[in-house]
Amino acid sequence: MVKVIELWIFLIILVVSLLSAFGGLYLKLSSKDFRLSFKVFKNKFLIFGVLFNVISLGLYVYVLKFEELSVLFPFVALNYVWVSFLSKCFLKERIKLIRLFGILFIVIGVSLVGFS
Amino acid sequence: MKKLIIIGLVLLSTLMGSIAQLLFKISSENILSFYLLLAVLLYFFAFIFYMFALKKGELSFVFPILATSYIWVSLFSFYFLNEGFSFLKIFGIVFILLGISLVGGKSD
Repeated sequence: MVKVIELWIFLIILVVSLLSAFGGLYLKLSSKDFRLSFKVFKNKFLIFGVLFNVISLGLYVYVLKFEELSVLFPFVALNYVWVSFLSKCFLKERIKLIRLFGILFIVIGVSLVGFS
Repeated sequence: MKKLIIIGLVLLSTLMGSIAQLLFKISSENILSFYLLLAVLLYFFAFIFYMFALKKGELSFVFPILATSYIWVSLFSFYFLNEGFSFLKIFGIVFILLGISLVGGKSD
């Protein structure tokens, strides 16, 4: 009953997840200096944040040609877990247990939505 | 109150992003570049709202609310693209909503 996923697809989806998570982190780091002006393009965190997310999305769209959405979606759902870890490690955010449960529910929910 | 504002900002962001995704899908059938332009514009504003939400709140609080985009997309595909709505999908949406309310903590 367990579907075997090809290694290269698994590795790409791992990269997709990591890029997406770090992209999210960088965007958060850039948000402090974010304002509605063109100067915002000088912010390295913003540039890399957007870039990482765009590359992540591109890789994801690419790998979708080779694997079903219902298989890949749970990995996408794990993004929320990675981001929590990154927030705790790099942003020193204190994450209460109830928030972790919420994230678990979201991961399950997103996987279910993608599975159907 | 601040949490509500953040949730509202992200909800607007995901709503616009999901409409944009719908427009992308529609525009690929009609090759109507107007829809495509609108979609890009929507994505742009969705991004701006998301950034303002990030300004106000912690990443571990703001980021999970992005999961609402799956809810919007499911609703839109059902209403506009006549895609099915399975029991599993409803379950998933309920889980997402429950999860987000837990992430939010005190205020929802």
